[in-house]
Amino acid sequence: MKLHYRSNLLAGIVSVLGGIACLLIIPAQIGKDYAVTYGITSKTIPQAVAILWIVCGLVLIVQSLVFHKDTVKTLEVGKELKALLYMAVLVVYMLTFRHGFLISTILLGLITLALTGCKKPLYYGIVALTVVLLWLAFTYVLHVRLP
Amino acid sequence: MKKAVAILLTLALLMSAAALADYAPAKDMNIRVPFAAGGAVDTQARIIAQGLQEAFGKTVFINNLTGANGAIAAADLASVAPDATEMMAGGIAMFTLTPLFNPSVGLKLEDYQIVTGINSEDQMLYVNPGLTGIRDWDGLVEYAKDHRIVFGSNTPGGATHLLATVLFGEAGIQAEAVTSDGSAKDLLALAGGNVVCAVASTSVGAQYVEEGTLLPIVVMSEEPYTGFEGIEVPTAQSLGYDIVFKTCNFIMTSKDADPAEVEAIYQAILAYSETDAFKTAAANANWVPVLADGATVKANIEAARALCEYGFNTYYAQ
Amino acid sequence: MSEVILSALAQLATLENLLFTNIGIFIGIIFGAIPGLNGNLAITILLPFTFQLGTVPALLMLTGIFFGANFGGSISAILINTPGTNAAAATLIDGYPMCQKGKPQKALDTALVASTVGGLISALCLLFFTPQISKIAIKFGAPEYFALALFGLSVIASVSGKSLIKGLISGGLGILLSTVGIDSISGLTRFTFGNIRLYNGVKMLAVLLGVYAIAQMIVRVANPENGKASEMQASGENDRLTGAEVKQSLWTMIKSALIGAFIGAVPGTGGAIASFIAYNEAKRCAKPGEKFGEGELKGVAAPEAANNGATAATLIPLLTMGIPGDVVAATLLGAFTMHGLVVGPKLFSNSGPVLYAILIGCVISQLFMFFQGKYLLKLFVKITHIPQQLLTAMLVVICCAGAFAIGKSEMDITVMLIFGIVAYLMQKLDFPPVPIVLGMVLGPIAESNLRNSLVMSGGSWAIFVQRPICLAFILLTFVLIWLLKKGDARQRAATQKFMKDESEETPE
Repeated sequence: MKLHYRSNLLAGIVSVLGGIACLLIIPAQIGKDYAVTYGITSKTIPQAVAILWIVCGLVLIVQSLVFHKDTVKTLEVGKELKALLYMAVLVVYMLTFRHGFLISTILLGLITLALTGCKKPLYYGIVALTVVLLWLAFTYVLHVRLP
Repeated sequence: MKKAVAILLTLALLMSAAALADYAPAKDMNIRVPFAAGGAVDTQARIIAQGLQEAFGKTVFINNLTGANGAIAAADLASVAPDATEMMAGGIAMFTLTPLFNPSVGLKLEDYQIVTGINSEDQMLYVNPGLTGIRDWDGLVEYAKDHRIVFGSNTPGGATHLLATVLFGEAGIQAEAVTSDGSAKDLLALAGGNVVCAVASTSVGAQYVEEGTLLPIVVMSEEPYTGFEGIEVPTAQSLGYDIVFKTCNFIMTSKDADPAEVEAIYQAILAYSETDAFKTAAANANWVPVLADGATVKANIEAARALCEYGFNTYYAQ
Repeated sequence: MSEVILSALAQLATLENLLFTNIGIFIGIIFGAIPGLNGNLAITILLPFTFQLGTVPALLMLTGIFFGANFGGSISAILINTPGTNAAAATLIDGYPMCQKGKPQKALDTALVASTVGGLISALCLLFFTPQISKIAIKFGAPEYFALALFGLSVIASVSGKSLIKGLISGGLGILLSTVGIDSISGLTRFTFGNIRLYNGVKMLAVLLGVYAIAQMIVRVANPENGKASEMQASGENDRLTGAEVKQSLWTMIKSALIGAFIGAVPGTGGAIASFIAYNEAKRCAKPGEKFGEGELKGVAAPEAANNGATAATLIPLLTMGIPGDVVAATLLGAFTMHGLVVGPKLFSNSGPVLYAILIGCVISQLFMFFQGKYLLKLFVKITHIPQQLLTAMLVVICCAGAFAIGKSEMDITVMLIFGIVAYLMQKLDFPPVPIVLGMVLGPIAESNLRNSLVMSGGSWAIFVQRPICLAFILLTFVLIWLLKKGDARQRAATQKFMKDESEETPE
C-alpha cells in the first residue's frame, strides 16, 4: 500500500502548528526578567522563532495551494510501519536503559539486527560483544559509570 | 596570628596521625565535581584526590557532573548510601544564591557535612583607568554623574551580579549589567572599553592589574586588600556600604556519613597539604589553598546568606 | 627574543616530546572519530596521567589530542554521515556524498590535506602574530559578536538545499533548542519543564548524534535492501587524491584556513562557526560544474581547513585572555593552568621559553598529524567494507554509549533518541538538517550579544552601525547573501544544462 502526500503543504501545516504550540507554552516556561531589558526579554527570541515558524509555514501552504509549487511524495506503508516499530523500540530503550545499560543496549543492538533482516548468527554475536566491550572500556578505562 | 596557625597545624598533624591509624575506607572514593573539567575547582579537587589516594591506598575518582547549579551532582550523591567516601565539591552559591533565584534546585546546608574548605577568594570591583580616568570609588561616583554606568558581571543569580547590583543600589547609582558566562570575559570587556567597571575575583584580575591595564577600587571583604604590589584596595564597608562576600568552595558529604571518618579524611588532606608535592601542585595551579574546617566554612556561608537575602529582596524580587 | 626561541627549541627537541605528541594526536584522532566520544573526554581522562610528565611533553600531548580530535571528527562525518565533533558538521554536506559515490578515500585524504594546511597556517599565526591578533580581538564587544553571529546565520541560505523557507524553519528549531536551560542574560530558566537535567541546556553533540546517526539508522531499518549494494558504490580506481586536485583546491584551503584562524582568534568562538562560514565562501566562489552538496571536493576541503585553522588560533584568546572557544578548549585551559602556565595577558612574558616550545610544537604537530592520518585513514576507510546490517546495529549501540559519555547524563541519550525520531520525520517533509546545527551554535551568541549590546547603548539600535567592525560585518552579511543568490542562479543554470530531469523522488 502506498500513501501520497504533498511535502510543502504538510510541512507548512506542521510548522504553523509548531509555532502555535510554542507560543502557547512560552508563558508557562519562561518567567519575568529581573533587570531592564530594552524590549528584548527572555521570551523575545523564542517568540520570534514561533512567529517565524508560523510565517514560513503559511508561505509554504500558499506556495503549495496557490502557486502549486510542491512535490508529491510517496510513503510505502509497509516500510513506514517498520520505521514506526523501530521508533517504538527506541522509545522503550529510552525508558529502560537507566535500569541497566548492559542488557538493554545488547537487546537494542540485537533487535536492530533482527529488524534489518539479518540472518547471520555471527553478527548477533559481534554486536553483543561490542556492547560488552564498550561497557568494559567505559567502566575500567574511561571511568564513565554507565547506568 | 601566624603563630596560632602554626600551632593549629601542628596539632592537626598530630591528630591526623591518630585519626589515620584507625580509618581504612572499605571502597574507592568518589568526588563529584559540579563544574566542568579543567576549571579551578576541578583542578583543586584533583590535587586533593591525589593526596587521598596516597593516604588511603584507594582510587579516588573525580566525576564531573555539571548542571543545575550543583543539583545534578547532589542528586547523584543522594542516590548512594551515605558514606565518607562519597563526596562532592560545592560552592557558596549553591546554598546562598541558588535557593533564592531557583528555589526548585536549592540545596540545604543542613543536609551536608563539610569535609574541608578548598579556597576562599575576595571579590573586587575593577575599573580601566586608561580609558575612563577613574582611579577610585569617588572617581567612579563623579563619572556616574554624566555617564551611564554599565558593569560586567555574570547573570542574575550569580555572585558578581548581585554584588555589583547591591553596591550600586546602595550608592544610589543607576547601573546596568552586560553579562557573560565567565569573569575572564567580563574583564576582557572592561579592558576593551565595552563596560565601565566589572566585578571579579582577585585571581582572575591579577595579571591585568600587574600589567597596569585594570585597577581594583573596592573589595567586598572586612579588611582592605593588599595582595597587589603598591595598591591598597579599600573595603566597601570603609566607603559606607556593608557588603562582605567571600566566594568559597569546599568538599562536602552527606550529613549521615560517620563524622569520625569525615574527620579522618579532613586530617589526611591537611597532612597532605604539608607535603612538597602538594605545594608544587598548588603553586602550579595558581591555587591558594584555604583548607578551613567545616564549622568555619558553614559560618562563612551563613554570613553570606544574609547579604544575599537582603540583596535579593531589595533589588530583585518585585 | 631569539634567545627565548633558542631555549624553546632546546626544550622541544627531545624524544619524549616526539613520543607524547604522537600519542596525543593518535588518541585525539580515535576519540574524534568515534561518535559521541570527543577530545574533551580524552583530555579529561589523560590529565591525571600528564602530571607524571614534564610541562612541555604533557601540554604537547594534550594539544595533540585537541588537534587530532578536531581532524578525527571529519572521519565519521565522511564515512558514516555522523559528525564526530560539532566542528565537522559542515564537512558531511559534501563528504558523505563523496563517500557514497565510491570516493571515501579521496574524501578522507582531502580532509587530511585540508586539515594539515589549516592547522599549519593557524599554528604559524599563533606562533608569530599572537600579540597583534589579541589587540584586535580585544576590540570585539557585544555588538561585534552579534554581527558575527548574524553573518554566520546567513549561511543558512546556502545550506538549506532546495527550500530556503524550510531551511529557516530548521534554523529556528536550532535557535529554539539553544534557548533551553538557564538564560545566560536574565538567569531565568527556559523550556526546562521542571526537569533539572535541562538546566544546562540541550547538548549539541547529543542533538547531532540524533539528527544524523539515529535518523539514518531508522531509515536503514525501514529500507534494509538499500544498504546492501546500491547505496554505496564500490571504491574504484580513481579513489585517490591527485596532485592536480590538491592544486585546484589549494587556494580554497588557504582562504578557508585564514577564515578559520580569524574566527578562532575571536574570543569565545570556535571551529563550528568557522567551518560553515568557509563552506559558504567556497560555495560562493564555485565555478560552473562544481556541485556543492553533491560530493564536491572543495566542499570537504573548505570546512576542514577552516575548523583546523580555528584550532590553534583558538589558543590565542585562550592563552592571552583565558577565554576558551569551546568545551574542549575550556578543558585545555585547565590543563595549562595545572601545569603552571597561568593564562592571561602576562603569560608570554612570564613563561616565555616553555610557552614557545609548546607553540613551535603545535606547528610540528600538524605534520605528525598528516603522517599519522595517512596511515590511519587506510584503516578507517575499511569501515565502508563492513556489511550495512552489522554497521547499523553497531553504530546504534556505540552512539548510545557515546551519548552518555558526553556529559555522563542519561538526558543526553534521551535527547539523542528523541531528535533521531524528530529528524526522521523532518526528513519525510524535506526539512534540511544542517541549519539546526547553525541555529544551535549561533543562536545563543546572537541572542545574548544582542541583549548586551542594547544594555551598552541604553536601548539604541544605532550601536550596530556606529562601530566600524560591527558595521563591516553587517554590510558583509548583506553583500554575501546577494552574491550567493547570484552565484546560485548561475550555478543552477549551468547544472540544468546537464541534467534535465527534475524528478524529486530521492531515495532515502
